[in-house]
Amino acid sequence: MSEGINLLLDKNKNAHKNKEIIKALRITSVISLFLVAFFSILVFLLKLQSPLTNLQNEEQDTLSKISVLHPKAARLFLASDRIKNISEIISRRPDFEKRIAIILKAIPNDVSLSTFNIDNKNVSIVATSSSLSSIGQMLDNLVAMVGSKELFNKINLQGLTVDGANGSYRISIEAILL
Amino acid sequence: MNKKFNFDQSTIRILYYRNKEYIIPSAIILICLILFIKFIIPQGQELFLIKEKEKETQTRVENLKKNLNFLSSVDSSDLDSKLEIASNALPPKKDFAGIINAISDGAINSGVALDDFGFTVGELSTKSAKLNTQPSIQINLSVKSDKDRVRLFLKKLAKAFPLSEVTSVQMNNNLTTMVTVFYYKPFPPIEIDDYALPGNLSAKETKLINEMSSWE
Repeated sequence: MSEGINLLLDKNKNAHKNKEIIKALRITSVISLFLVAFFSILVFLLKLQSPLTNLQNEEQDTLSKISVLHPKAARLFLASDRIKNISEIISRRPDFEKRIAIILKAIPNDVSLSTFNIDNKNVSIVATSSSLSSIGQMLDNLVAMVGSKELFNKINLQGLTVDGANGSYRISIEAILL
Repeated sequence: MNKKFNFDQSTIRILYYRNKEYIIPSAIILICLILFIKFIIPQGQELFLIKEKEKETQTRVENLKKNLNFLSSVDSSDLDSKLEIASNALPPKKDFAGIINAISDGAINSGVALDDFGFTVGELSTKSAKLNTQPSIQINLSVKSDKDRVRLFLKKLAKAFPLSEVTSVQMNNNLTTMVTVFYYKPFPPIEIDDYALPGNLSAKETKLINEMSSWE
């Protein structure tokens, strides 16, 4: 018997195929429903479990407690700001007393200073003495400070004059501070 | 001949009953797909955002609690005394009385004579000697004394309130003139950020304040 002319068999085959499609569709739809329900419940539960609301409440609570301490925080801010500025000024300002002491130490007793100017960068000294060796000693001491990088970066001898009438020597020095 | 296809309600009903078994599950799948794309995926994404927000909030809360504990632990009276010392050293406004006191105390303690109390107050307006962006008042001082006493005066002035800085010294025999600037600093506007409070004073700053407390 030829299958090509057996219409009944073909019809059964189609019906079987349709049933399979329907079965697959049904299974897929049930799985889809299940998945949607499962994920909906899962998301809902996860959201429900989130401690975000509690954390936000805790944050507000802590903020209100801190606001009571705002005056103290303001005083702390002011003190901190002021002390930082003070520290900056103290570390920046030159210690003239110390610098003058170092320079005066280098000047022998029989040398008298007639002019002594000092600022942040330069020192100018005009000194007189009846002893040339004391003047020389002073120069040696000051030049040694350049060598040892103690205070000066550079020293310029501006002039050395002799006052014949008084028998004294007058020296003028310019120095650049470190 | 034109055939007219009438797609009326009865046709739809017939089609539905004939294909009911395909239509219903297909519709369910389609609806589920729409629900999944339109609602469940955005909700899932929102969950991640919530987790991220939780993390951020947790960090903020921890920070706040740390700040709260820190502020509670700060000794108020100690803080007040430190602020007082700091404000004396760096007054919030031009403290002329404080400056005159500092100069006269320095002169008395070092034994120098202020030249007829003749110190020249420089420009007092806002333009006055804004040295290194720090507001200050410049004063030209003249003192009569020997070099050692002048040195002592400089030493005393360096440890007097308000804070000062000598910018130049000119000695001519027994007359010394010096350019001095006295600093002040107006209180800045305070904006308290609860999440970023200023920390406690460093050991160096505390040491400085303790050291300055003996200057007064």
